[in-house]
Amino acid sequence: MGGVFLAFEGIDGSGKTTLATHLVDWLRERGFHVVYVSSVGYEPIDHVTRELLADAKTYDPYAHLFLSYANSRVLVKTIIEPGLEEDGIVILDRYYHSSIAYSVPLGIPLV
Amino acid sequence: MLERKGYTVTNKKNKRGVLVGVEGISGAGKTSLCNAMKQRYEVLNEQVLLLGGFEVHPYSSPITALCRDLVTTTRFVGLPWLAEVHLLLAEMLHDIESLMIPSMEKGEIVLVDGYLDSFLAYEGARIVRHRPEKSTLMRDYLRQVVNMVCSIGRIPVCDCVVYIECKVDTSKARLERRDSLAMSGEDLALQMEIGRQYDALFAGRSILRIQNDDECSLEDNARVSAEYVDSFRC
Repeated sequence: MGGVFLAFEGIDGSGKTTLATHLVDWLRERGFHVVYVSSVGYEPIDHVTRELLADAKTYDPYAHLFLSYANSRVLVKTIIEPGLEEDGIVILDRYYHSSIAYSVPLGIPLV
Repeated sequence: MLERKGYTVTNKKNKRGVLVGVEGISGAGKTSLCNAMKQRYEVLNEQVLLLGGFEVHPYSSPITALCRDLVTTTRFVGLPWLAEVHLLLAEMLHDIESLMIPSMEKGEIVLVDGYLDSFLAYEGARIVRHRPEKSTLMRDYLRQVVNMVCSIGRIPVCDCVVYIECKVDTSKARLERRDSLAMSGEDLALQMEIGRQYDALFAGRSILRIQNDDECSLEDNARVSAEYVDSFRC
Protein backbone atom coordinates (compact mmCIF):
# COMPACT_ATOMS: atom_id res chain seq x y z
CA MET A 1 0.00 0.00 0.00
CA GLY A 2 1.51 3.35 -1.02
CA GLY A 3 0.14 6.81 -0.48
CA VAL A 4 0.37 9.27 2.37
CA PHE A 5 -2.00 9.52 5.30
CA LEU A 6 -2.27 12.85 7.13
CA ALA A 7 -4.65 13.89 9.91
CA PHE A 8 -5.23 17.42 11.19
CA GLU A 9 -5.96 17.67 14.89
CA GLY A 10 -6.69 20.60 17.19
CA ILE A 11 -9.34 22.16 19.39
CA ASP A 12 -12.50 23.63 17.88
CA GLY A 13 -11.75 26.83 15.99
CA SER A 14 -8.03 26.18 15.75
CA GLY A 15 -8.11 26.23 11.95
CA LYS A 16 -7.98 22.56 10.99
CA THR A 17 -10.55 22.77 8.21
CA THR A 18 -9.08 25.96 6.77
CA LEU A 19 -5.58 24.53 6.69
CA ALA A 20 -6.69 21.12 5.42
CA THR A 21 -8.78 22.48 2.56
CA HIS A 22 -5.94 24.85 1.53
CA LEU A 23 -3.55 21.92 1.46
CA VAL A 24 -6.02 19.80 -0.51
CA ASP A 25 -6.42 22.56 -3.14
CA TRP A 26 -2.66 23.12 -3.31
CA LEU A 27 -1.95 19.42 -3.84
CA ARG A 28 -4.73 18.94 -6.39
CA GLU A 29 -3.49 21.95 -8.40
CA ARG A 30 -0.18 20.10 -8.66
CA GLY A 31 -1.79 16.94 -9.94
CA PHE A 32 -1.82 14.81 -6.81
CA HIS A 33 -4.64 12.37 -6.16
CA VAL A 34 -6.09 13.60 -2.88
CA VAL A 35 -8.83 12.04 -0.78
CA TYR A 36 -10.17 14.55 1.73
CA VAL A 37 -12.34 13.37 4.61
CA SER A 38 -14.07 16.01 6.69
CA SER A 39 -15.37 15.33 10.20
CA VAL A 40 -18.42 13.68 8.70
CA GLY A 41 -18.13 9.90 8.72
CA TYR A 42 -20.58 7.10 8.01
CA GLU A 43 -23.90 8.91 7.71
CA PRO A 44 -26.13 6.42 9.64
CA ILE A 45 -23.75 6.55 12.62
CA ASP A 46 -23.32 10.32 12.32
CA HIS A 47 -27.09 10.68 12.36
CA VAL A 48 -27.37 8.60 15.55
CA THR A 49 -24.52 10.54 17.15
CA ARG A 50 -26.29 13.84 16.45
CA GLU A 51 -29.53 12.49 17.95
CA LEU A 52 -27.73 11.39 21.12
CA LEU A 53 -25.89 14.68 21.49
CA ALA A 54 -29.20 16.53 21.24
CA ASP A 55 -30.60 14.78 24.32
CA ALA A 56 -28.55 15.69 27.38
CA LYS A 57 -30.70 13.48 29.66
CA THR A 58 -29.68 10.23 28.00
CA TYR A 59 -26.29 11.23 26.65
CA ASP A 60 -23.63 8.71 27.60
CA PRO A 61 -19.97 9.54 26.94
CA TYR A 62 -18.91 5.88 26.76
CA ALA A 63 -21.59 5.08 24.18
CA HIS A 64 -20.48 8.18 22.28
CA LEU A 65 -16.86 7.03 22.35
CA PHE A 66 -17.72 3.57 21.07
CA LEU A 67 -19.87 5.08 18.33
CA SER A 68 -16.93 7.20 17.23
CA TYR A 69 -14.72 4.08 17.13
CA ALA A 70 -17.31 2.34 14.96
CA ASN A 71 -17.44 5.37 12.70
CA SER A 72 -13.66 5.52 12.41
CA ARG A 73 -13.54 1.87 11.43
CA VAL A 74 -16.02 2.40 8.59
CA LEU A 75 -13.94 5.34 7.38
CA VAL A 76 -10.76 3.26 7.44
CA LYS A 77 -12.26 0.41 5.45
CA THR A 78 -14.32 2.40 2.95
CA ILE A 79 -12.28 5.54 2.32
CA ILE A 80 -8.83 5.60 3.91
CA GLU A 81 -7.52 2.17 2.89
CA PRO A 82 -8.90 2.37 -0.68
CA GLY A 83 -7.37 5.86 -1.03
CA LEU A 84 -3.97 4.66 0.11
CA GLU A 85 -4.15 1.60 -2.14
CA GLU A 86 -4.57 4.00 -5.06
CA ASP A 87 -1.36 5.74 -3.90
CA GLY A 88 -3.39 8.79 -2.98
CA ILE A 89 -2.83 11.40 -0.30
CA VAL A 90 -5.53 10.87 2.31
CA ILE A 91 -6.20 13.93 4.48
CA LEU A 92 -8.49 13.76 7.49
CA ASP A 93 -10.03 16.65 9.36
CA ARG A 94 -9.86 14.91 12.77
CA TYR A 95 -9.10 11.25 13.47
CA TYR A 96 -9.13 9.03 16.54
CA HIS A 97 -6.85 11.40 18.47
CA SER A 98 -9.80 13.78 18.73
CA SER A 99 -12.04 11.00 20.06
CA ILE A 100 -9.54 10.34 22.83
CA ALA A 101 -8.81 13.99 23.62
CA TYR A 102 -12.47 15.00 23.69
CA SER A 103 -13.41 12.00 25.86
CA VAL A 104 -11.45 13.24 28.87
CA PRO A 105 -13.57 16.37 29.55
CA LEU A 106 -16.67 14.22 29.01
CA GLY A 107 -15.67 12.14 32.02
CA ILE A 108 -13.77 9.22 30.50
CA PRO A 109 -10.33 8.66 32.02
CA LEU A 110 -7.45 8.01 29.64
CA VAL A 111 -6.14 5.22 31.86
CA MET B 1 -13.39 -16.61 30.26
CA LEU B 2 -14.27 -13.21 31.64
CA GLU B 3 -12.96 -11.48 34.68
CA ARG B 4 -16.15 -10.90 36.58
CA LYS B 5 -15.02 -8.94 39.60
CA GLY B 6 -15.83 -5.62 37.94
CA TYR B 7 -19.47 -6.18 37.54
CA THR B 8 -20.20 -8.22 40.63
CA VAL B 9 -19.83 -4.99 42.60
CA THR B 10 -22.36 -3.21 40.39
CA ASN B 11 -24.74 -6.09 40.78
CA LYS B 12 -24.74 -5.98 44.56
CA LYS B 13 -25.51 -2.31 44.49
CA ASN B 14 -28.61 -3.00 42.41
CA LYS B 15 -29.76 -6.17 44.08
CA ARG B 16 -33.37 -5.11 44.49
CA GLY B 17 -33.92 -5.66 40.78
CA VAL B 18 -33.11 -8.73 38.79
CA LEU B 19 -31.20 -8.87 35.54
CA VAL B 20 -32.00 -11.76 33.23
CA GLY B 21 -30.13 -12.65 30.06
CA VAL B 22 -32.21 -14.55 27.52
CA GLU B 23 -29.81 -16.22 25.11
CA GLY B 24 -29.92 -18.39 22.01
CA ILE B 25 -29.12 -18.41 18.31
CA SER B 26 -31.03 -16.06 15.98
CA GLY B 27 -34.57 -17.31 15.54
CA ALA B 28 -34.43 -19.47 18.67
CA GLY B 29 -37.40 -17.63 20.14
CA LYS B 30 -35.72 -15.19 22.53
CA THR B 31 -38.06 -12.29 21.72
CA SER B 32 -41.17 -14.48 21.96
CA LEU B 33 -40.05 -15.83 25.33
CA CYS B 34 -39.25 -12.33 26.64
CA ASN B 35 -42.67 -11.07 25.58
CA ALA B 36 -44.42 -14.08 27.12
CA MET B 37 -42.51 -13.60 30.39
CA LYS B 38 -43.31 -9.89 30.40
CA GLN B 39 -47.02 -10.61 29.96
CA ARG B 40 -46.87 -13.16 32.74
CA TYR B 41 -45.25 -10.70 35.15
CA GLU B 42 -47.53 -7.82 34.20
CA VAL B 43 -50.57 -9.89 35.23
CA LEU B 44 -48.95 -9.88 38.68
CA ASN B 45 -48.36 -6.09 38.52
CA GLU B 46 -44.61 -6.61 38.23
CA GLN B 47 -42.75 -4.03 36.17
CA VAL B 48 -40.60 -5.51 33.42
CA LEU B 49 -38.16 -3.74 31.14
CA LEU B 50 -37.30 -5.42 27.84
CA LEU B 51 -33.94 -4.60 26.29
CA GLY B 52 -31.97 -5.87 23.33
CA GLY B 53 -33.49 -8.15 20.78
CA PHE B 54 -35.15 -7.49 17.51
CA GLU B 55 -37.93 -5.12 18.54
CA VAL B 56 -37.55 -1.36 18.72
CA HIS B 57 -39.56 0.04 21.62
CA PRO B 58 -40.66 3.65 22.22
CA TYR B 59 -37.88 3.91 24.83
CA SER B 60 -35.20 2.32 22.61
CA SER B 61 -32.19 4.45 21.75
CA PRO B 62 -31.36 5.59 18.21
CA ILE B 63 -28.42 3.17 18.35
CA THR B 64 -30.82 0.26 18.82
CA ALA B 65 -32.92 1.43 15.88
CA LEU B 66 -29.80 1.61 13.69
CA CYS B 67 -28.57 -1.84 14.77
CA ARG B 68 -31.96 -3.42 14.11
CA ASP B 69 -32.10 -1.76 10.71
CA LEU B 70 -28.65 -3.11 9.85
CA VAL B 71 -29.66 -6.61 10.97
CA THR B 72 -32.85 -6.77 8.96
CA THR B 73 -31.48 -5.21 5.80
CA THR B 74 -27.96 -6.62 5.63
CA ARG B 75 -27.32 -8.79 8.73
CA PHE B 76 -24.35 -6.44 9.17
CA VAL B 77 -22.78 -7.68 5.95
CA GLY B 78 -20.59 -4.93 4.50
CA LEU B 79 -19.95 -3.25 7.84
CA PRO B 80 -16.37 -3.75 9.07
CA TRP B 81 -16.20 -6.22 11.95
CA LEU B 82 -14.69 -3.72 14.38
CA ALA B 83 -17.39 -1.19 13.46
CA GLU B 84 -20.05 -3.79 14.28
CA VAL B 85 -18.35 -4.68 17.58
CA HIS B 86 -18.14 -1.05 18.73
CA LEU B 87 -21.63 -0.22 17.52
CA LEU B 88 -23.12 -3.10 19.53
CA LEU B 89 -21.08 -2.13 22.59
CA ALA B 90 -22.25 1.48 22.21
CA GLU B 91 -25.85 0.23 22.18
CA MET B 92 -25.25 -1.88 25.28
CA LEU B 93 -23.47 0.89 27.19
CA HIS B 94 -26.16 3.42 26.37
CA ASP B 95 -28.99 1.09 27.46
CA ILE B 96 -27.24 0.11 30.69
CA GLU B 97 -26.77 3.67 31.84
CA SER B 98 -30.05 5.20 30.71
CA LEU B 99 -32.48 2.28 31.08
CA MET B 100 -31.14 -0.83 32.80
CA ILE B 101 -29.64 0.57 35.99
CA PRO B 102 -32.52 3.01 36.73
CA SER B 103 -34.98 0.14 36.22
CA MET B 104 -33.07 -2.23 38.49
CA GLU B 105 -32.80 0.44 41.16
CA LYS B 106 -36.60 0.57 41.16
CA GLY B 107 -36.67 -3.18 41.79
CA GLU B 108 -37.91 -4.06 38.32
CA ILE B 109 -37.22 -7.16 36.28
CA VAL B 110 -34.93 -6.48 33.36
CA LEU B 111 -35.09 -9.02 30.55
CA VAL B 112 -32.28 -8.64 28.03
CA ASP B 113 -32.96 -10.35 24.74
CA GLY B 114 -29.36 -11.27 23.92
CA TYR B 115 -26.88 -9.81 26.40
CA LEU B 116 -23.15 -10.13 26.89
CA ASP B 117 -23.05 -13.88 26.20
CA SER B 118 -24.83 -13.27 22.90
CA PHE B 119 -22.36 -10.57 22.01
CA LEU B 120 -19.42 -12.88 22.67
CA ALA B 121 -21.02 -15.90 20.97
CA TYR B 122 -22.10 -14.02 17.84
CA GLU B 123 -18.89 -12.05 17.39
CA GLY B 124 -16.75 -15.08 18.27
CA ALA B 125 -18.60 -17.05 15.60
CA ARG B 126 -18.07 -14.31 13.01
CA ILE B 127 -14.34 -14.45 13.69
CA VAL B 128 -14.23 -18.22 13.27
CA ARG B 129 -16.28 -18.18 10.07
CA HIS B 130 -15.01 -15.06 8.35
CA ARG B 131 -11.48 -14.37 9.59
CA PRO B 132 -9.94 -17.66 10.71
CA GLU B 133 -6.47 -16.43 9.74
CA LYS B 134 -6.72 -13.63 12.31
CA SER B 135 -8.80 -15.48 14.87
CA THR B 136 -6.27 -15.33 17.73
CA LEU B 137 -5.71 -11.60 17.38
CA MET B 138 -9.40 -10.79 16.98
CA ARG B 139 -10.53 -13.01 19.84
CA ASP B 140 -7.93 -11.39 22.06
CA TYR B 141 -9.24 -7.98 21.07
CA LEU B 142 -12.83 -9.02 21.75
CA ARG B 143 -11.90 -10.40 25.17
CA GLN B 144 -9.90 -7.30 26.06
CA VAL B 145 -12.54 -4.79 25.01
CA VAL B 146 -15.24 -6.66 26.95
CA ASN B 147 -13.01 -6.96 30.02
CA MET B 148 -12.20 -3.27 29.72
CA VAL B 149 -15.82 -2.13 29.77
CA CYS B 150 -16.61 -4.62 32.55
CA SER B 151 -13.67 -3.56 34.69
CA ILE B 152 -14.81 0.04 34.73
CA GLY B 153 -18.12 -1.17 36.10
CA ARG B 154 -20.26 -0.37 33.11
CA ILE B 155 -21.72 -3.80 32.43
CA PRO B 156 -23.64 -5.46 35.27
CA VAL B 157 -23.53 -9.25 35.30
CA CYS B 158 -26.76 -11.17 34.81
CA ASP B 159 -28.37 -12.59 37.93
CA CYS B 160 -29.47 -15.50 35.80
CA VAL B 161 -29.37 -16.72 32.22
CA VAL B 162 -32.06 -18.56 30.28
CA TYR B 163 -30.65 -20.31 27.23
CA ILE B 164 -33.05 -21.43 24.51
CA GLU B 165 -31.77 -24.47 22.67
CA CYS B 166 -33.05 -24.63 19.13
CA LYS B 167 -32.18 -26.57 15.97
CA VAL B 168 -30.71 -24.50 13.16
CA ASP B 169 -33.36 -25.72 10.69
CA THR B 170 -36.12 -24.49 12.99
CA SER B 171 -34.49 -21.09 13.44
CA LYS B 172 -33.95 -20.77 9.67
CA ALA B 173 -37.68 -20.91 8.94
CA ARG B 174 -38.39 -18.28 11.60
CA LEU B 175 -35.67 -15.93 10.42
CA GLU B 176 -36.77 -16.11 6.81
CA ARG B 177 -40.27 -15.15 7.90
CA ARG B 178 -38.95 -12.31 10.07
CA ASP B 179 -36.35 -10.73 7.78
CA SER B 180 -36.44 -9.71 4.18
CA LEU B 181 -33.36 -11.88 3.54
CA ALA B 182 -33.05 -15.54 2.69
CA MET B 183 -30.68 -17.66 4.78
CA SER B 184 -27.63 -18.71 2.81
CA GLY B 185 -25.48 -21.75 3.48
CA GLU B 186 -22.97 -19.45 5.14
CA ASP B 187 -25.70 -17.98 7.37
CA LEU B 188 -26.59 -21.50 8.51
CA ALA B 189 -22.94 -22.37 9.14
CA LEU B 190 -22.64 -19.16 11.19
CA GLN B 191 -25.69 -20.14 13.23
CA MET B 192 -24.14 -23.52 14.00
CA GLU B 193 -20.90 -21.84 15.04
CA ILE B 194 -22.81 -19.45 17.31
CA GLY B 195 -24.31 -22.53 18.99
CA ARG B 196 -20.82 -23.93 19.53
CA GLN B 197 -19.65 -20.61 20.98
CA TYR B 198 -22.57 -20.63 23.42
CA ASP B 199 -21.69 -24.17 24.47
CA ALA B 200 -18.15 -23.04 25.25
CA LEU B 201 -19.35 -19.93 27.13
CA PHE B 202 -21.87 -21.84 29.24
CA ALA B 203 -19.67 -24.82 30.04
CA GLY B 204 -19.58 -25.19 33.81
CA ARG B 205 -21.95 -22.28 34.43
CA SER B 206 -25.27 -22.57 36.19
CA ILE B 207 -27.94 -21.53 33.69
CA LEU B 208 -31.46 -22.60 32.75
CA ARG B 209 -31.64 -24.48 29.44
CA ILE B 210 -35.01 -24.75 27.75
CA GLN B 211 -36.00 -26.30 24.43
CA ASN B 212 -37.92 -24.54 21.70
CA ASP B 213 -39.57 -27.28 19.71
CA ASP B 214 -43.01 -28.75 19.11
CA GLU B 215 -43.02 -30.54 22.44
CA CYS B 216 -42.59 -27.37 24.54
CA SER B 217 -45.24 -24.67 24.47
CA LEU B 218 -44.28 -21.03 24.81
CA GLU B 219 -46.47 -20.77 27.90
CA ASP B 220 -44.68 -23.68 29.55
CA ASN B 221 -41.28 -22.21 28.71
CA ALA B 222 -42.35 -18.81 30.06
CA ARG B 223 -43.62 -20.41 33.27
CA VAL B 224 -40.46 -22.44 33.84
CA SER B 225 -38.27 -19.42 33.06
CA ALA B 226 -40.24 -17.11 35.36
CA GLU B 227 -40.00 -19.64 38.19
CA TYR B 228 -36.25 -19.80 37.64
CA VAL B 229 -35.96 -16.00 37.65
CA ASP B 230 -38.08 -15.75 40.81
CA SER B 231 -35.61 -17.98 42.63
CA PHE B 232 -33.00 -15.22 42.18
CA ARG B 233 -35.14 -12.36 43.47
CA CYS B 234 -34.48 -10.85 46.85
